[in-house]
Amino acid sequence: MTDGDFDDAAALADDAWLDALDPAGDPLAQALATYSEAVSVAAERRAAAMGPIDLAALQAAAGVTPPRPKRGTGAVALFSTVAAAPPAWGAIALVGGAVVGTLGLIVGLGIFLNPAPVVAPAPATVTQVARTTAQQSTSTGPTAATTAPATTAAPVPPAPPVASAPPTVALPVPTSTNIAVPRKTTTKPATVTLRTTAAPSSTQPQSTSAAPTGSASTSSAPTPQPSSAMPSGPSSPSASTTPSAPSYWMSVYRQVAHALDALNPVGRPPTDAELKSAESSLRIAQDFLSNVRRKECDPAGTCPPDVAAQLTAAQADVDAASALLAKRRAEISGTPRPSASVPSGSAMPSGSALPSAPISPSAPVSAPASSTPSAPASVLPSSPVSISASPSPAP
Amino acid sequence: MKRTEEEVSLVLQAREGSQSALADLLALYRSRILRFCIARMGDVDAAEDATQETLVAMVEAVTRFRGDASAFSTYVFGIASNKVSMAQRAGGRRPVPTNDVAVLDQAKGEAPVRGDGRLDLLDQLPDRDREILILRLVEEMSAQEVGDVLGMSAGAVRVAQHRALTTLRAQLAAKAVTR
Repeated sequence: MTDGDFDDAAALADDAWLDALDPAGDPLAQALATYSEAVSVAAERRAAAMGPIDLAALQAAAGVTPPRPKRGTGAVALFSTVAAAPPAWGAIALVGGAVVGTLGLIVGLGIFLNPAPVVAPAPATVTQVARTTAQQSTSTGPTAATTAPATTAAPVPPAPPVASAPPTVALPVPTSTNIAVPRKTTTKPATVTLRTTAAPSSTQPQSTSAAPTGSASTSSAPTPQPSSAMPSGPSSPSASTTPSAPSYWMSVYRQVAHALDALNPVGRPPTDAELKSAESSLRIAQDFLSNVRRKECDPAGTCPPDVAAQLTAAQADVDAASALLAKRRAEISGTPRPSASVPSGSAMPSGSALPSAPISPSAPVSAPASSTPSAPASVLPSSPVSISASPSPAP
Repeated sequence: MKRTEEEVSLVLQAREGSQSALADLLALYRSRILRFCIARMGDVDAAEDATQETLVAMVEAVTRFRGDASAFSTYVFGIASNKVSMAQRAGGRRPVPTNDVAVLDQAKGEAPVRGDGRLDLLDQLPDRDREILILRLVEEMSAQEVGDVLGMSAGAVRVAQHRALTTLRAQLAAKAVTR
């Protein structure tokens, strides 16, 4: 046995002695036990005097920020928050989220599969057209005034009267619901210029419709708006009857509007095809009106007041459009055509409440054109261009 | 040293960032560290300061601790040993036991330990040998654990504690003869 082996054995023996320290009988063991106990008591008392551990202060002293729970972003963060919440709230949040999501999906699918129906497109279209044309007429006023010299009382007076006076048309405004405004008048100055050069003087009129001077007012004649055929609204008394329903009058209006669109192309005179289309549309509109008279009016021609008013307004629009058709046709062909092919309101029963067309204030200024006898005489209140024509074709 | 499953669990949770587990772990180790520091330094106030510094180092190091959870105690006492050494070097003085222990003994109705002169023998030991005995006696660490704390082998710890105990026995025998 070497010294090292002896030392290792002694060390192991002391190690075992320390592990099983027994103070009894051994002064060193007793002293070590007493020392250990005294130190433990002192530490416990001092620790009790130190109070609870201030974790925040320790972390602040260590420069360590409290770590946050690891969470993802977006939905992961949401579910992490929900999972970190108390069980009851987590379950409620999950169930609520699922319900809301399902409802949203159902609503979305419902909207996608059943889009909202378009409600009453016709009146909305009429209103839009009326507003648009009103704006056009407002902006057209100064242009017409510059091309045509002002005459008398008319806001934008027509050209001086000549023998072959242009087919100035006075459109009737029988009811207060009429919205008669010119359409697309800004496109007409080009045509006016051509005819002006073609008709240098009033002694040599090119045609009955040719303006002798720069009569932009006549060339840009206001287009009658058939809105008079449209009832004022669903509360109209005639709206309840079948033939006088708004949809029926709207059919008339659409036909007249179609005809007017064909008669007033943008930037050019209407073509023959457009004239034929306008004529066809006016004929259909006239057939509508005739059908109304046949159904609503008695054989003597007496119509209910509301129907009569609607008929009067619609017939006036059809007549005005027919007059414009005749004018356009005359402009193109160079030969005046006294009346449109569409029969005017002559079919109106004598007993109808069609009033006599009022005469425009500008009517005396613009001489009545003998070449356009069928054009109804009326007034466009909102039109900057007032035109006159032959008396109303009222029966 | 006795470890419980609770201590290992607290270490694992504190390492993952649990604030409550960290607080519990600090409360568990504070008394132990304070006991070790009092035994090492003798001055309760200085021991408390060293304990606070050790706890601060624990808070900073717990999230970085990647060793075995069962070895966390040796890791902490290694920190505490370094803090005590740093405090003693900064103070430029050897550990001088105060009268705190004697006062405590008096409060308990016991004779002052220091009056017996037995702690004087412990105080005369070299720092390393004294520290080894403190860890073995007060903290009830094994030789292997003491070696882990102090960076020594278990055999070196046993040899050092054998040397320290031999010295203590000789001093006690000498005092007994002088009396």
